[in-house]
Amino acid sequence: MRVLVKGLAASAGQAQGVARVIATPGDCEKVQPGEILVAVITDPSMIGAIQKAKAIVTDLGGLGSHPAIVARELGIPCVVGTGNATSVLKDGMEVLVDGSKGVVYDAS
Amino acid sequence: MEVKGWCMTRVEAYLKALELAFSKMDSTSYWPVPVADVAPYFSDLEALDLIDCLKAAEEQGLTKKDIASTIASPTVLRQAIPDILVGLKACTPPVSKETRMWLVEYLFDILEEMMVSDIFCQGGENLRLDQGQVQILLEQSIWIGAAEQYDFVKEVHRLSTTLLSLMWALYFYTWPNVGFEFHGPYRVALPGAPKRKAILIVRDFFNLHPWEIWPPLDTIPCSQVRILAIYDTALSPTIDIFGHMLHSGDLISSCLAVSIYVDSEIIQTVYKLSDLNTRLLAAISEQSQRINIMDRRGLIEKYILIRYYIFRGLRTLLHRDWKPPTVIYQRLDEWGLISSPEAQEFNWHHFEQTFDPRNDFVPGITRYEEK
Repeated sequence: MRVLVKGLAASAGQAQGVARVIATPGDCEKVQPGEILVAVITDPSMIGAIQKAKAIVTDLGGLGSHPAIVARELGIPCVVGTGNATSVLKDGMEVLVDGSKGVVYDAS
Repeated sequence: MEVKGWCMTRVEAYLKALELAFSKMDSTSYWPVPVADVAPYFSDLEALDLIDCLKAAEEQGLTKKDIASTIASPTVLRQAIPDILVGLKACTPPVSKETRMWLVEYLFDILEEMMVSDIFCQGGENLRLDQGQVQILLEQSIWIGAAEQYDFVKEVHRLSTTLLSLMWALYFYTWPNVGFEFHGPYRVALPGAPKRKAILIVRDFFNLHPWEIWPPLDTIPCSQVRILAIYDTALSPTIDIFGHMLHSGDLISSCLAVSIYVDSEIIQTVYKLSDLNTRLLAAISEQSQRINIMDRRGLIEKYILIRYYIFRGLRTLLHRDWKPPTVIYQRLDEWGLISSPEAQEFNWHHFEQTFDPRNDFVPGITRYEEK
């Protein structure tokens, strides 16, 4: 599969689903259960949306960042510090998140 | 501590633990305001006052154990030490190396009073309880097995993420451990199966109502939540100097049993957990809205108030005002808002110089020389 973005493996496991890019706080309400949440970074206000997501991918952050910590607690894959996930991934793209390798693949 | 034939001082051990933690952390997102934009207003003043408080405490006959009892968690003290050190180094006139070392060693002694394992969590352990206390905890708790109630276990972990987010919303990214502490991993036997070796992690959320720093949130239905979770040993969880828990494998599928108490009352149904989660999510939403409408000056003032909140117990014990002094607000008026330079690529040597009390290096002031 084609690699779309690479980052830091922050929470192990694999998940496939439709990407949902969060550009504004209001976008959190659009997240549907089972989608892949993509954001520059997450903050506490996004936790409701995160709890619906199947995986998290962010531009910023390390292993001690908010998305990494909550993903590990939820047991969902997470890739942080990609630098460009919100530019490369688009709403509706079918992607596979490998939180063990820190890679997001094109799964279309 | 003996390492390869030479004696590692506590400062060296502290720096080693910082290096390990930073090497795993990579870049950090500074929400809602970077510490470097705030520290110059208060860190020197706060560090000097802390020395004064500790000397006054000694004169009043208070023990280090007394002082330890005023601090919310060892993790928040460990998180504050780098901040205090930079403040000390930035003082005008300069603070002597001897004074810096006295303070750092004093704070290390306080940590010794709070922990039963290595105070810098080298080896991945953040142990608050001794074996006897752990045994009592195991025996007195009501356990729900993952094999029987997987949904309950899943919901407990979901609630944990909500509580963690609430901590961030109340104390910002830098000081969430004013309100919670993850401790463990404790080696235990699975309750009801004494031959099955397992690991206990305690998630203590002990301050959900910091009314001294935020107006009350009526939507927060409780003050404290304690989650006890027992995992398979294969999970191999570790907790670092900053309280970050890392593990291999999946947390939820490795969980064998949980026990959760809300304000000391046992919770045993998924319905009650879900209801609590929904109410806490509403509280986070309300708190986030408060933060989002604050201007930058307001955020900086709040950050400083939260920072002073860490030692409120000590200052209150000494009958002093725990809140930031007015001179900090005068600095804000005079200096205006400052912005730190863009974060550079991670450079441990730079951090090491910054957080070593034995040298005079101050980031942004002293010329940095590559190792």
